[in-house]
Amino acid sequence: MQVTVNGSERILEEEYSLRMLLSDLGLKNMVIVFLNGSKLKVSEYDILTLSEGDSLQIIKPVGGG
Amino acid sequence: MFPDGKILKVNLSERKIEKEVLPASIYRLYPGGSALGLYLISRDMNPKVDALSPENNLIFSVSPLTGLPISGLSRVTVTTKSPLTDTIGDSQAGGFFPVSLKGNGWDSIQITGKADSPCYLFIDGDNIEIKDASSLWGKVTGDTEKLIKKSLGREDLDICEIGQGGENQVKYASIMNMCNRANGRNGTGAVMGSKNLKAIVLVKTSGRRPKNMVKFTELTKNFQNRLAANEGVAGLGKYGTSGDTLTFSDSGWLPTRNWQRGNFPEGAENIDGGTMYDTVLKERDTCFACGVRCKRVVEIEGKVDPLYGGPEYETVGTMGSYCGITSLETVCIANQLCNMYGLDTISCGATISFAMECFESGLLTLEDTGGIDLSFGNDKALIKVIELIAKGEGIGKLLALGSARAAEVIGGNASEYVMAVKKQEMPAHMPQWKPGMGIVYAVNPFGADHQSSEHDPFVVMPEDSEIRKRLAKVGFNRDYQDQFQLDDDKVRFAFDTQCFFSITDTLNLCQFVWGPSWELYGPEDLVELCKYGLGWDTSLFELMRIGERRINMMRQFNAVNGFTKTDDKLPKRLFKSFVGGPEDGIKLDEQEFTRALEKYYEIAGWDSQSGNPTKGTLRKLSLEWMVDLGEEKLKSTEEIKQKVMN
Repeated sequence: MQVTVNGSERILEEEYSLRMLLSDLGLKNMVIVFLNGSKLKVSEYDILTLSEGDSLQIIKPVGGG
Repeated sequence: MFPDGKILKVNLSERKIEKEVLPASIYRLYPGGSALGLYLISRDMNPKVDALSPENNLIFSVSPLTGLPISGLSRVTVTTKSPLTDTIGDSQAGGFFPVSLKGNGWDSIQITGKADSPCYLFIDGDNIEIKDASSLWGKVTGDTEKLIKKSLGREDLDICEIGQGGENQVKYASIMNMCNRANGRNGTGAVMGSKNLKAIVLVKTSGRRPKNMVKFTELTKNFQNRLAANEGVAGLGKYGTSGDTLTFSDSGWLPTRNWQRGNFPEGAENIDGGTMYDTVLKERDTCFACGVRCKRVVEIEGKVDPLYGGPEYETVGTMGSYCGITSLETVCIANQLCNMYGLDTISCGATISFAMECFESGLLTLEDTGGIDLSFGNDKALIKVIELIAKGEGIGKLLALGSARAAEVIGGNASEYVMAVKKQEMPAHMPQWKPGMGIVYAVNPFGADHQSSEHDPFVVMPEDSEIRKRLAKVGFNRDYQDQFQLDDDKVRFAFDTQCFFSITDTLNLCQFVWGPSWELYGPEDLVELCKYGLGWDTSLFELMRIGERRINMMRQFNAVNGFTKTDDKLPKRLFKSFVGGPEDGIKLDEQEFTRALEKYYEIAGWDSQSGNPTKGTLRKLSLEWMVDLGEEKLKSTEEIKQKVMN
């Protein structure tokens, strides 16, 4: 299936979970995920399965150093 | 039970050593680090003295927690009047020196006067000596440490020192320890140099035992699991602070070519922490008892000595993207030079990038630069100019003043290219993307500082995240869809997290390990640390008050020196939209920013006309003794001391 991640198209297998996608990107829970314009809760990261045409914005917040 | 404080007082003019015991009832209000330094300097010194005069105090402070066996607890604060900003000066450094300072029985060393010839201070418990340093003057930091150890015939020493930068009183000279840990900002090294003080040498000591070992262990057990579960801090360990440089650039928030752009596609990947990890990183170093191991140690054979550590994100930014430099090798060499000579990498790189823009716009010519082509991206020029700055030669003599003063000399429209607040050059985090942080850049008493409040992106985290749960404990509980808003809640977020960061600079905690959101340990852990580490049964309320007290002390010190809200200004460039690139259209809205600043002053309890603390706010914070500080120009320190004790 095809989804959009931060403006770029990505082909994923069917029944691909959000957690699997985050893992592909090297991310865990310190991340902000908007799915089709709505911000997800962290508790949803482990239960959500992605669908064809989903649009995701994934933001890793970074502080100072 | 809160302890008394032990202050070592050294008068270099009279070569006099005295000791002071600060009663616990007072020490608890100013419990170490920055707050303790502020208390001593405000109590004992006329705030209006010239920063490079013998009267200026140079104060090194640790905290009652320093040396406890847990990550992030070995830092030292230097407090002085800054020769760069003419405000209060404040700077922290890590390593092992802080633990040895505490281990030798001292909470603070307060240095006044000026030695009649170069000297260094030797401390072995209560045995304090002022030793001759004439043979060390002119030596780089690495040679200084080696020669001191050789002359004393021992290796078990922790040393902080200045290089030629401090000796030549470069306005942004730093104080180094271990040759790679820097009290970098505000020109503290220049003050040390003005006193003919080359180094402070401590006999190395070990850490301390917690008051309640069993309960304390609850904080340290399963450390590796805690670290592994915190991807932010774990990432710092592997790739260092510059591990997100490429991401910053791709997102449009990497200051490039003196802040003309936020995107550095031609160079960001080359200088990123991931590239450093894959190429020149030799090992990861750490501070006392810290399991994070975030410090870079790089090696380039024949060119970069691991003794001088490696570049952090700020250096990668200021010596890299600010100056258009695409070579990681050049950035590493620049970092090494700054650590050898004792120069703040942020102000040094930013001042050179200012000069590069002046050169490219014709305000500086080849004649001015002594034939050096100071175009952006010129690696050789960057290296050459750092050397000249340290030695006060050629164009280096002008740039040693910092960008703001150099602009006054250059004239024309050079001031438009100064990217500084209160004459301190801005670090590599862009207020256009982080407007709450931008508020603190503007109001921070010692100039623009990126480690004085939490950064905006964390307000967007989901409300059920650990980060938001922690932020709620310091008063922030609002859901944002993006990081750009600058409404009342964001201003409160800026102020409240500023108070929390102010606690960490008082207790001398590493801000990667201890903080209000993404860090390894949060607010509730800090209360437990104080209780089980020290036997100090405190609360988050008391701690936030301490943080707020410190900010107000700094602001009041500045008020005496004539600073007002008119000095809380960001460079005009930040209010102009970028065109093109990932930063297209991004800017700070000037009207919104001005409104937010006014709200900040209200929230902080500061006068709306002057922007300075009101009498009511000072009294709330037990600072009634500072209420008349501005009117007591020549008040004797004895009279002020009496006021404080009463």
